[in-house]
Amino acid sequence: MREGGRARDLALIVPVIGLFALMPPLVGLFVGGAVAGVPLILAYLFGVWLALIFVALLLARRLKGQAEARDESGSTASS
Amino acid sequence: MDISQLALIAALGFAGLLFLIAFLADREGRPRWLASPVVYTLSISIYCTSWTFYGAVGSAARNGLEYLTIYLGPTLVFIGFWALLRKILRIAKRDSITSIADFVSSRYGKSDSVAAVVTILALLAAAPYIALQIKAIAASFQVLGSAPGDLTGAAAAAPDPVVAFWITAGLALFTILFGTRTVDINERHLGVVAAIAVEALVKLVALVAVGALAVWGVADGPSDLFERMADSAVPLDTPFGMRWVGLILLSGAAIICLPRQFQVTIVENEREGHLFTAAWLFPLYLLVMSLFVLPIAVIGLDVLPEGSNPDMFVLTMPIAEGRTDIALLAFLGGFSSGTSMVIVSCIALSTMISNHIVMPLALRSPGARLQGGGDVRRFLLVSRRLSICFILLLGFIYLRTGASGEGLASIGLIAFVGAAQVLPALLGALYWEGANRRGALAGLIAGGIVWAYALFLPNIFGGVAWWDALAEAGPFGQAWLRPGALFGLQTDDALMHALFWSLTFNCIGLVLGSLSRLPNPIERLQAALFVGVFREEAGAGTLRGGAASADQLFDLAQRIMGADRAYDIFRSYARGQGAATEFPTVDDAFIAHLERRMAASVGAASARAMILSVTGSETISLDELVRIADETARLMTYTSEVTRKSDEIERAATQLKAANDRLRTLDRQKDEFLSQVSHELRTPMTSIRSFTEILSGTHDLKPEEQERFIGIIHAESIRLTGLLDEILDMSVIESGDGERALEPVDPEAALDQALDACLGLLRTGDVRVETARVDRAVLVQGNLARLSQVFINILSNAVKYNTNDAPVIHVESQVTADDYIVVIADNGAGIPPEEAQTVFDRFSRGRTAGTQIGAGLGLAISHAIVTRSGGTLRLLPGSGGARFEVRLPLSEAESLA
Repeated sequence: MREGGRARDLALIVPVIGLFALMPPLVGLFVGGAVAGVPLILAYLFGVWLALIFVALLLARRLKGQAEARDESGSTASS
Repeated sequence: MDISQLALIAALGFAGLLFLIAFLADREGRPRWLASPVVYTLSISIYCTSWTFYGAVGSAARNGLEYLTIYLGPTLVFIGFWALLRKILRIAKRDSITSIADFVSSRYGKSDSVAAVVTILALLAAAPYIALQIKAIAASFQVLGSAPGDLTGAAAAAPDPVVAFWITAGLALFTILFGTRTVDINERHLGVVAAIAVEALVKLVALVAVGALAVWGVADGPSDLFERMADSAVPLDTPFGMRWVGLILLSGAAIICLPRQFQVTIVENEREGHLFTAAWLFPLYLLVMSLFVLPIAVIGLDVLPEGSNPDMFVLTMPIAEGRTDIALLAFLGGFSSGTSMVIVSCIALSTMISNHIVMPLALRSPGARLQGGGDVRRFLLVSRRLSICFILLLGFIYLRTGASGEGLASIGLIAFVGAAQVLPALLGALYWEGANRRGALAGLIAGGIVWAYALFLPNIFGGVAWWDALAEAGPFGQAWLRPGALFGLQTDDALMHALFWSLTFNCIGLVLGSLSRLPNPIERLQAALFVGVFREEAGAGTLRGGAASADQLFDLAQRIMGADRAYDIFRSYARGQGAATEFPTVDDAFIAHLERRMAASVGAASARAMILSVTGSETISLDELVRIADETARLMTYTSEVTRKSDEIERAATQLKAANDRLRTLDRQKDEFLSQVSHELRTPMTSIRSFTEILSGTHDLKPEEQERFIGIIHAESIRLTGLLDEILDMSVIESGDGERALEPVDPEAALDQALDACLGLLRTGDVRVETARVDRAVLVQGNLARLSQVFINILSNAVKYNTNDAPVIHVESQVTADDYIVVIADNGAGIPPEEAQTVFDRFSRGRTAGTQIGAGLGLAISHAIVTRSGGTLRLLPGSGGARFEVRLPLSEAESLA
């Protein structure tokens, strides 16, 4: 598989993982209890949310770099 | 000052500021930051409307964490941008898509009916959504205006119709001024985007400020807050069941399918790269907005009297804490949320209404007269403005008839379910090549009807007797058709009930409809272009030639280009390869070559799709493709008609170009003329100025010197006046404005007048005049005064430029069959041949003129006069003195006689 293929596959799978993490029955496990005074369910939901954003940030940077590199090589090849 | 008055002033001032921003952004050379991905992301944040700003707190107070679903769905969609949004964006950019209706219909064979159905659905779904904004803005005004002791926010439950009406009218005006200043070809509104980006910042700052007040102002920091949360009525143990799942999916669908989200995310997008930033920045914005909702709900329930409306906590909580400044900021935040949603919704919907309902009707109606471009533009603008008023009126009516008792969030969800009906057709468009128009229409209509019946209408008519009776017993007594329990599905949750059945029927409609017939060629082509939008990119360099045989390729090529041409291409390529056979060896180079040739006939994208299908990395079967090719060939016959039309257009373009060239030449001549005129005027002006300066600056001038200078100034002034008169004459004659009409006149009389006028001049110059005149009355078309001006001019030239010691002027007139001819000759030095060419040009004073004064416009004017009378004025060739011939056609009355 070519370089960058993994990033693209990850970009497809991350939202699916996110959906899975936010769906019952998984979310139901975190109802009740607290971590450091914060209700566990809040910590979990916002934690997953932040993690998704962070992964998206990394992926977007990676994929954008690739897209630009491809555009560049494409334009030099055609010129 | 009362806080409600202050709020009104702040709202108006804020609206003014937004106009200023929009105006600056629309100007040429707008600032670079406007094109940044951050502004793009902020504009997507119109997803957060009054519903988020006021309603999310209300939702949190009532249903706990459920409000998060509305933001988690869009988060997942944006994080998964690579699969869905990027594909939509790429297609929309390639095909210059203007709205979601345009997008879906373009995929289903550019179908008018699909576009109209999507538009109507979107319009119906927008009514509750806009009602929600009106309700929230009206309530926020009323809460600020209510007696200081009343913080229950009771007004929010039932907004005053008068206030609501004026807010609706204000929004209509605001949106029309904002969104329909121009009709942009690609439907982009840079100014609006800039303004809503600012509004997005305002609502974020406002909500964070209120949240900070709750956490650190009222509660004693986070730990205190969580203690209060544990004691409060906010339910943290939301059941994570069907509703949780359904709402996440629903909000995920809404972020794609809402017309205004499509507008900002797809249509207004400047660069695909911006989506890469929005992919994480927009979820982050949502997260920050959601973070403080729960604290505000908890603190609001704590500090406000029991029974207060939680939808207004964002506003009433700061007031209760005595922070009117934060309350005012919150009011502006709510105002921003509401207005930005209404503006973009109305722009998107009015575009859809005018493009997909009004225009098709106007084009089909027999009396339609929409030819000129300006006409269509005006028509579009007017129809868009009326559409905006119509949309807002629908929202207002919805507010008045239904839903007024419900929380903001539940009204918004009704709209979401309506908008989500587009999702199956949209996903089918992107991922299923077999989906066709029949399926899309069936799905949209089935889903739309179920939505309207199970959710929209109950919300409007709930409480009305006949509807309640129907809802209780079912139509025609059929209990299984009750709108609240279709097919006996008993549930308390009307929203999930409607969502389930509407999407179920929608998907069934799409699948069965699509499978019930084969897609027609144009659908198949669009399907390949939509589903395979990235194939071009991925396919580059990965052609596998071995998968296709030369026979297959030839079969395809001959159907598109005709057998002869295809044969030529194949044979000549085979020769180039040095092969003895008729068909070349199939390799990547040959496939690329063939594709380029085919692209010339069917366009690059289709050629690529067809070739790829033959080479094996495509799912359409070869048979199907051949059928496409057959259809293409048939279409090409129709196309010849189009080609003929385009030839006509080309001819018109050539004519236009010629006209343009002529105009350019005239323009250049005008410029030359102007520079000549200024030059001519400068000379006398300079000498007048210098002598005036001498006269006023030198005090010991001798009287005779003074007199001489004044004489020069006088003479120059006269020359200047004469020059100006001539220029004026010239422009009057050339433009024809203010010039008297031509009439039959006697040119002999004009000649007599001229000779009389020149009598003085002739005497002073001691000139002898010989005449040989026609002996009968003649009539020509002209103007007596102008004609004699011509003769005077020629005569006086003959005197002035005559250097002979015994000057003689010969005037001879005669009549031929058609013309009246006058020749005026002198015995002077004549005009040198090299000047003969330019003698009639402006400012062409003879070089031999020496000391003579005059602007050099006389002959040019004369020439113009004669030309206007339909005659000619020319210099007759020959040596000796100058001989001018004036030839005027006899007037019709004369030649008949």
